[in-house]
Amino acid sequence: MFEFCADPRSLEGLQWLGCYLTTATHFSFYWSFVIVLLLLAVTAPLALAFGFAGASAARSHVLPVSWIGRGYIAAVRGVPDIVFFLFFVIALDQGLEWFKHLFVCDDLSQPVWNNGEFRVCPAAKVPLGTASPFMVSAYSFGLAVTTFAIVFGAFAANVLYGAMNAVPRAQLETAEAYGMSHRQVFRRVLVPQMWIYALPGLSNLWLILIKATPLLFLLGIKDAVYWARELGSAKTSGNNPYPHGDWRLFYFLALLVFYLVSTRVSEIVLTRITRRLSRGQATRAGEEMRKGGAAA
Amino acid sequence: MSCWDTLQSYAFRSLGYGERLLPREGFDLCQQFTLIGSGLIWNIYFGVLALGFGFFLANALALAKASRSPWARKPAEWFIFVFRGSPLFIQFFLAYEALVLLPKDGIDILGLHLDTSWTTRAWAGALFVLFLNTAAYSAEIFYGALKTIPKGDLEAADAYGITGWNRFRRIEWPTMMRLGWIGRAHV
Repeated sequence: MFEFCADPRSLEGLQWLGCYLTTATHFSFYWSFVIVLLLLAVTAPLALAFGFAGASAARSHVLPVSWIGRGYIAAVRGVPDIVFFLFFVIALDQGLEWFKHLFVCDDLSQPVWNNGEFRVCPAAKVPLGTASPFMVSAYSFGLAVTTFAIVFGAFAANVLYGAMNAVPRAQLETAEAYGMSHRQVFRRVLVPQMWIYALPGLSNLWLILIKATPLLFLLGIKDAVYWARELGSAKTSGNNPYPHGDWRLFYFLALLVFYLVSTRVSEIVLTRITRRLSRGQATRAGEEMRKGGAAA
Repeated sequence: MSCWDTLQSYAFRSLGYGERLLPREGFDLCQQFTLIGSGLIWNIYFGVLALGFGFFLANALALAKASRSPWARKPAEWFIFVFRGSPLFIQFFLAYEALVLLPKDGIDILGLHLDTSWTTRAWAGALFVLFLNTAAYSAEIFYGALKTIPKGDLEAADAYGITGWNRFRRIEWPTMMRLGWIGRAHV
């Protein structure tokens, strides 16, 4: 990166460290943190959407729709996350390939699942064998996002379902008394009013989601954990320009600090949002703010 | 191969007893249940021991966090923050890398020889991290419970002249357990 980095063996001290930390592989390491943040930014709204759909379905007056909503919540909540992460990634991947297999492949005589092996013709592979490396990583990233969204959507659905039931009945009855239809009550009163009740649960979920991101490593994505192990392991053999001992401890310390900062910053932001949402609510916090405002 | 045979050869495979090689044929439900069940022995081992030992540390941490002295409060707050604010997955890796750095042939302190080779084994290292992790989460719950003990209980204790250790043992601790136990069941 810098000009004086041309011959790393002649460097010492801070200069050496400066060159060492700006190698191309280290930029992949830093990039993986961006990937984690990107994953969070994409997954959170998607999971919230899944949760909203699940909660609305569970509240539905149409029985089969309600069953689907409740079934989704119960099924995901009852199984450990990690089982779902491993299951969904394989299931989604194989499902896609099997579906494509039915349409694209010429020879459908062979069973796809045979003797514990999963085999489709090359044309039905997702992504295709000829796909660019970018497409391959985009595909695995997409699978990871979908899996996270399905799992965390179920938890969010449970939280939102509880929050919808927590909105004071009187507020909904007032809206009905004004002649609003079911749909209008839902959209204009229930949904805007439920957030303050949902927020404690949702902030919990957000913190859990942050802490679940290292599981990407288990899904085979080259994330921060992968690079920390790769870069930290001892580099003494061969003609490595930057030889060093086993530094994995320091790399994982850096990861630990990254996660501690993320959770701390989230906590501060969430506290602010809670204050903002409490304003004017028929809750203890809202009442205290009202009295405080009146006194001032 | 009958189910009883499968059970005999694989029930304790995860502990290193019985057949070493996995079955190459059949793959019936009996084999699957036996092999997965065999792995579950470890889940029970980690769960019971980590929760059991973690309970005591959690009590101490909750008291320290509620303490007035910053010498007790600050370390407890930091301990809880670090273990609750970072992923368990990272904690496992970090602890393992740290334990690997211990000298291989033990440490000699004051003529006492401490063996270190066992600390990097999975049964010890993972248990250690799980123990600290569960202690931190439980401590936060117990701390919350300690803060929500009804004022009346403490005033009643004062009125009866119950103070110090007696007050903690007979009034605060039982109420703390009652309030915190449900939350801890979730952890």
